[in-house]
Amino acid sequence: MSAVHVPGMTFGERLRVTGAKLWQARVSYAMLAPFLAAFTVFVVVPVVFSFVLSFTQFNMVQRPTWVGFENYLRMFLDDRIFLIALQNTLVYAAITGPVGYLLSFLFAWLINEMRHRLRIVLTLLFYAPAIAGNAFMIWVLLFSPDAHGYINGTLIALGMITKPIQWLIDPDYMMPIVIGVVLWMSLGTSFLVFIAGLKGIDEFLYEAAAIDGIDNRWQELWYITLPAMRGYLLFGAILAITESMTNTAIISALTGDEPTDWATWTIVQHSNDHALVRFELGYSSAIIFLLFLAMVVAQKVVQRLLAKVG
Amino acid sequence: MTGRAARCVLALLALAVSLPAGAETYGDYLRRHGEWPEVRLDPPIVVPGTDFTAADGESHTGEISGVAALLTAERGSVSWDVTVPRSGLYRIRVTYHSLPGRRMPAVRELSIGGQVPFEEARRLSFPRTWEDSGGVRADVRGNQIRPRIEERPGWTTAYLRDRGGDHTEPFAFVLRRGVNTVTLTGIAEPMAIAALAVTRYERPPSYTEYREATAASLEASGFVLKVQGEDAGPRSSATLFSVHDKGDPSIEPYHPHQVRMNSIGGYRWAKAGDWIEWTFAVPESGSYKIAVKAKQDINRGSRSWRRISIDGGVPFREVDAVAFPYSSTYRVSSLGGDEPYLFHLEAGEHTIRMEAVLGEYADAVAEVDAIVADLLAFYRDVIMITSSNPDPFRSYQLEQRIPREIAKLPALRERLVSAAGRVEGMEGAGGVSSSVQELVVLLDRMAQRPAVIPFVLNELQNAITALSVWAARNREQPLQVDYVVVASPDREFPDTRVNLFVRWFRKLQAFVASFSPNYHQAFSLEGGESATGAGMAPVTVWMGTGRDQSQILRQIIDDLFTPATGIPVELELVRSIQSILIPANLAGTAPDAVIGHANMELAFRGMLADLSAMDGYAEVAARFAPGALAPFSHRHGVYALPETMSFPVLFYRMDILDALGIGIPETWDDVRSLLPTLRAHHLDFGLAMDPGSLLMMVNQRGVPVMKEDSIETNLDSETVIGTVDEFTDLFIRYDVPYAYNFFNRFRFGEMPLAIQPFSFYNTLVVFAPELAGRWGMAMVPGTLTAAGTVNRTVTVLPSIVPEPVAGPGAVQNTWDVSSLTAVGVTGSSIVRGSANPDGAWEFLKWWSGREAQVLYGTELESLLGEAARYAPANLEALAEIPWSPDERRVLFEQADWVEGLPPIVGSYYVFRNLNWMIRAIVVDGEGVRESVRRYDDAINRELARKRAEFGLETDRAALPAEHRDRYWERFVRIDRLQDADVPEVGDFVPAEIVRELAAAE
Repeated sequence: MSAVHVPGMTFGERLRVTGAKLWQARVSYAMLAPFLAAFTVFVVVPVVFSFVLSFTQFNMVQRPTWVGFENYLRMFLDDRIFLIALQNTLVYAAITGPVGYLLSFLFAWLINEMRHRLRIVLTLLFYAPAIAGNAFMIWVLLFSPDAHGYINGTLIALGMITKPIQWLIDPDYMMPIVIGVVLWMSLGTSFLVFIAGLKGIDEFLYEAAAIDGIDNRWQELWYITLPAMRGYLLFGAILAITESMTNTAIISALTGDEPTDWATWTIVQHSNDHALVRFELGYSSAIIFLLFLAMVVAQKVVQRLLAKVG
Repeated sequence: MTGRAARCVLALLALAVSLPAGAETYGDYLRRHGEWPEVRLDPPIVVPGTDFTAADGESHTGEISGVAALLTAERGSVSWDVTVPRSGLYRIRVTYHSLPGRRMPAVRELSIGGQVPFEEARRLSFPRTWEDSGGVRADVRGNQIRPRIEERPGWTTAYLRDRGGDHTEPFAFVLRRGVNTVTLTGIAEPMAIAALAVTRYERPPSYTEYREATAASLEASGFVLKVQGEDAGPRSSATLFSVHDKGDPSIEPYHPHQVRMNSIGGYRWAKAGDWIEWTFAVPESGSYKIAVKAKQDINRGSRSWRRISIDGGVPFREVDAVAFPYSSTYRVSSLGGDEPYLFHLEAGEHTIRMEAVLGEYADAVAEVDAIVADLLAFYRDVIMITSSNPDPFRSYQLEQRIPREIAKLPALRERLVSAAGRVEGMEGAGGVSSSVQELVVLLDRMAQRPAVIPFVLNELQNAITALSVWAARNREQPLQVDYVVVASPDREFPDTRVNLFVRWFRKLQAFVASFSPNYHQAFSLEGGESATGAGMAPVTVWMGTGRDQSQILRQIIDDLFTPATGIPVELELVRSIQSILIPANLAGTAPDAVIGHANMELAFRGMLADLSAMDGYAEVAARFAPGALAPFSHRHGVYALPETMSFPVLFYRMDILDALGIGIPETWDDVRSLLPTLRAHHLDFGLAMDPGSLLMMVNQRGVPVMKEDSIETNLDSETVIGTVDEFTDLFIRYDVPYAYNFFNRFRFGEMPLAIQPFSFYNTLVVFAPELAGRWGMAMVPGTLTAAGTVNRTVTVLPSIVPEPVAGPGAVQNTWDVSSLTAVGVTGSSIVRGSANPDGAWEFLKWWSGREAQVLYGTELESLLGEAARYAPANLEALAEIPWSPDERRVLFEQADWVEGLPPIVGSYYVFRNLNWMIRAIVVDGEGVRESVRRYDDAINRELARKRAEFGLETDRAALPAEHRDRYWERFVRIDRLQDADVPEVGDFVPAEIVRELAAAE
């Protein structure tokens, strides 16, 4: 980075001033140091390294070779599967992100209105799927392709179908099922954060607003509740974006690591596939770096939108 | 022949045809001959083994440890004439000596006068006797290592008994006055027979009688002797070895963190008939009391039974079956309880033997098994009419179609209630009641309203499973023994309670110690390395299986490899080797060799050494099935030696096929012609809908799936397109299910024929005991060739030691979901750049050799049980794995047809797309030709890209001839592709298809 020229100070002076400031805040820096060290080693260095790798061809066994922008060009010009993955990720993220986010907020808001006991019970109920880690595995069981599977067996017994439906290997059903299950699981961390946020709003605000002329719940929501928990909303949004763009655990558990005709193939899976199966780490890094950029942009956009709330 | 005699013969014949031969059980046999007297013979009639009247096979007379005997081969039968003075019931005692074989018990079928008297006589077992060899040793960390178990040669005299333990007394056979011909026919393993004795079974006296007979015996005094369980002498099975119980500080010997061999038995000592014998000595003649410190912490709410014999005989009836109740800790159980039985012992050495028996459970458990079998037969009869998913809107008229079967239900119910009542009387409520009650209600409903049967099939299935699980659990008689105490009546048995503080302190010690040892390494024996390995560079070997496996390997390395070669081996247990090996290589910490995890992706990138350049490679390569090396051979190099190999075979239910009058299919045409019959009875044929099955069928046509050097697919060949059509047609038109749970469907008879890896054999043997004798293994159906022969090829793919996988993809794509053996062929490789390639090669040569593989397989099976049967790729070793002759024949015939799939640069893409192609055709109903074209194109594009990355040719015409030749040499039966079979590139494609293709992409 180029040095910023501060008028009236020589380089030596600036160094001294900075040093003095650092020394003044030495306790704070000392306390920050462990985190900073870990953050640098485990986050900054790998991100920079992977950015550099994205311009190479690297198979993890032989030395990487520099290929310039070839990986990025290939992504858009010579890899139709990347485009499928991009499309899938966008569809998936566009539905599960906002809908999951709204659901979390809606249920948090709803529950917040309940009496104390009921609220605790309902919170537990709604949060249960997320807390129970692999709870989505139950859907794997329900959607079993076997004629004796739960859903197939029931449908056959009811005479609605005669042959078992191949739920998780038939491209017609795969994406809708995945999205449905993810939405079922969506009342996760952000749901809890929203509940905490709603609890944290001062009651006086509502009373003052009522005096100032707010006369229905929607106005209360828009003018008081949402602005008061903007920080929580932003946190939830960032979580939602990250989750919807990078979480592939549920997808691969449901439709496998080789979904039929790439029907539920996402960018992260595409990147993993190139890194772990095809040993093309350079290309994999390029994909991930692009995803990283996309997430940064999406978060900027959401931040702007949230600023307009209230 | 007079008319009357002829009619008799005819009637007998008719009876023999209507009943499956010998279907009578021993229970029925005994009831039928109940009024026959048991004949007292004194002395017994002894027929020397050498006095046989007829013998076929390779049986011959010989002498073993000074005793003249008849050495009978594994196959073939031998007959003796036994003359008895009166008609009546007799017991038969055999004096036998096991002969070198596959470490299994010898099994013989007995017939009298040419007829097998009852079903159980078809499989009489003559177990081998085992003992520890070489005592306990310790590794460099002070951990004890259990001694290896070896066979103890010697003569055994034993009554013919039920091997399941359902009948506590030896079998009684009806012999007629005069000459009876007794024939033993080999089923498994050779054995030598010195004598047959026909005699009466002396029931042990009651304790009162025993005391009267030994009234002269004075009470001994001042004597307590602990006979440690781990110091056991002979025993009936190689799985009965001393074990380390680290939980209980009261156990002797105890160490908080080092391994001590301190007890014996446990869940391994659970099968009725398994016995362990200890030797002890008493200083003076007199009466002694005996106690056993043991625990049964496995079957909650039930008791384990042991028969106690002293010096070869049960002294009195009361110890014929001694109960050990459930207990989570070790308890000293005195024989006789508060008033211990007094055993008269002469001064000197004695033996005490504890044998697992079913005790009071015997009759009830046998009856429940019979009920389960009847219920399964009933279930099968029903689903043959209704299918397992009956149409609710249809009346099946079951009471008219199977009236006899339905009429039997009330009787079945009564039998169930009475058997359950007996067990409950012993066990108290719980366990059995809920599953039995449910079944009783169900049987009532079905008997009263047969129309309800189709609606309760699922419940019936679940209830049968619960019942058979319950029966199987009650057959298990686990017991873990710390020691046996022999004491004089004036002394107390030792107190085993451990102070709570001591207990906690021990736990704390163990916890603290858990931080120090390195569990990744299996350590060498104490003194092992220094004695032999001086100066030799060590070889580092990674393996990816479980701890048990690594310890077995460690032990046989120390016993065999290092002493013979002087090369020390550092064996490390590494999880997910696949993903760790590459970073390790980058970091320069890769091992010299990796076993069980050959990965051709690494070979393509130059990470594995070419083994074919190694010294003596040709000799080593000859050990395997000809097709087994192909998956590891790329161009000039061979990058791994096969380790295990599992391939598919055809599993069949002979009872169902017999009932339907269907034979075992030899070809796919046979399969297609029997499928309508199967489907008419709502039964299924099991064939995995995955590329593996397709590959098999393609290769059976003598055609490869990939062209030379795997440069592109062979999907454009007319033969392959035809095979894809044939294969997918099985699912589309012949209704073969897309997905199924083989084990359940096979067990319940819904799927009487299925193609599955042979490793499922053991799963079935262990987990479906009620099916014993009703199913078998055959070669897979083949394809009829132009020459009129049947091509039975099965294709094996490279594989790794299985790791649990999740998702429907896993269930769909793997042939095998429940076995411990990898499906396909796993391999061991040397890492290129290893500092010690010669040492590593020596190790691989030894490891893939017969001796190491057999020993490893044997130890594995004795440690983990039959379900863990090892499947070595080394054919000489496979021959010594304890398969019975019939199964071994099938395996070897099928192994001869194994064709390996040569590695493909970009293989991931091939399998994915083949899978999707099958799904597109079967599930989405796409046209065969369009689909094949579309996916062929997708695969070839990726292959070309990937090959370019490696600098390999992408144009078939440019491929050097040597690589073409190399490729064809890998195959066993697949012919070189004739160019006539391959259409010219750039064939005319109709415009609408071009548009469709564009749209599809």
